[in-house]
Amino acid sequence: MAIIFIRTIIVFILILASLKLMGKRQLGELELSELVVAVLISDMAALPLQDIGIPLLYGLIPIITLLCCELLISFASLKSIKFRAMMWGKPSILIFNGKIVQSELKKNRFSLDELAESLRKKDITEINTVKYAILETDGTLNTILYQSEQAVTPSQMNMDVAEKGLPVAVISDGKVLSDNLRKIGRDENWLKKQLSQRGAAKPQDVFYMTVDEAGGVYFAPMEHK
Amino acid sequence: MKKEIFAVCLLILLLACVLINNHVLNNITNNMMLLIDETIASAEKGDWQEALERAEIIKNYWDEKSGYTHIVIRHSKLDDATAAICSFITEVYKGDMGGVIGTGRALSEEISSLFAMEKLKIGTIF
Repeated sequence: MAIIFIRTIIVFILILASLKLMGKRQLGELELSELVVAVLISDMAALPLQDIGIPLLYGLIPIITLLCCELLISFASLKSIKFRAMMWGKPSILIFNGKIVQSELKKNRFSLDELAESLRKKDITEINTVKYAILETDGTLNTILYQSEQAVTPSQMNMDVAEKGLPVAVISDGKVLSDNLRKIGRDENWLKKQLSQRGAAKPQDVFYMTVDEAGGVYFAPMEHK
Repeated sequence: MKKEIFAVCLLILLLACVLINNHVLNNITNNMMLLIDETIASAEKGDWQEALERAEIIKNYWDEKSGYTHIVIRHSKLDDATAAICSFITEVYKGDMGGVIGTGRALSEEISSLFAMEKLKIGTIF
């Protein structure tokens, strides 16, 4: 039992490190080779955990080898367009200028039902509102609507809207993120002033606080039990 | 670029370790086979005392290498080999020539098949 326990920890740390090195966080965004590697790694990892008669190396060596191969493939695809196209293919345009490209549907074995379903997932119920629909290499469908079907933007209405910029967290779960505070050009004194304006005595009374470029603040106090 | 260089170095290191492992296991196999042959030869000469000593050396050598072999070979296979060694030693103790030859050959087969799986051949890869 102790052996299984220790092996599980070792394998868990190795898989975490491997997936972190691969650089993707969401399974849904993995390219084909990355998906294969992820599935293989999980299978390989389980072998020495299920049977302590199997040396741990029988799980570790395949994981490390797969990781190295994946890193090299990723690098090669980054450097070479041809290699990238060969490995992962190219995006396919399923709807071009409002017309369904039937040959591309057949080539990708993408049925009309699947197309309609993917559009509905994007809240698009009428195909004639779609100017372009592109099937990406990771299997997701992206759409570009006709200009007349898109939501109106402030610039189209000749409205001036202040840029808010990216909100940066300065307090998270009661802890001050000093690096972020410095990045936005603020200091502890400014933070204390903001807290006192919002009725918080100290950072530990704040659950979450963000500041954007325009100086807008989002403030969520800590719920005390 | 650093990650990729690290990956290449790691792959080369793994390959080197695999080749070294093959070499080490080959040495262990050869030594075991030699010891088995020497034990059988001693038994055939009628020198059972020497045969016993050699059989004990086989067991001690196997135990000495068990730390390494347990890391790289399936334990069930190692257990079968250990059982074959014990059978061989038992026959040597009994002084049964037929038994010594029979169990000696079985032990040789067991040891060579154990390490044959680690050899890089078309048959083992596929």
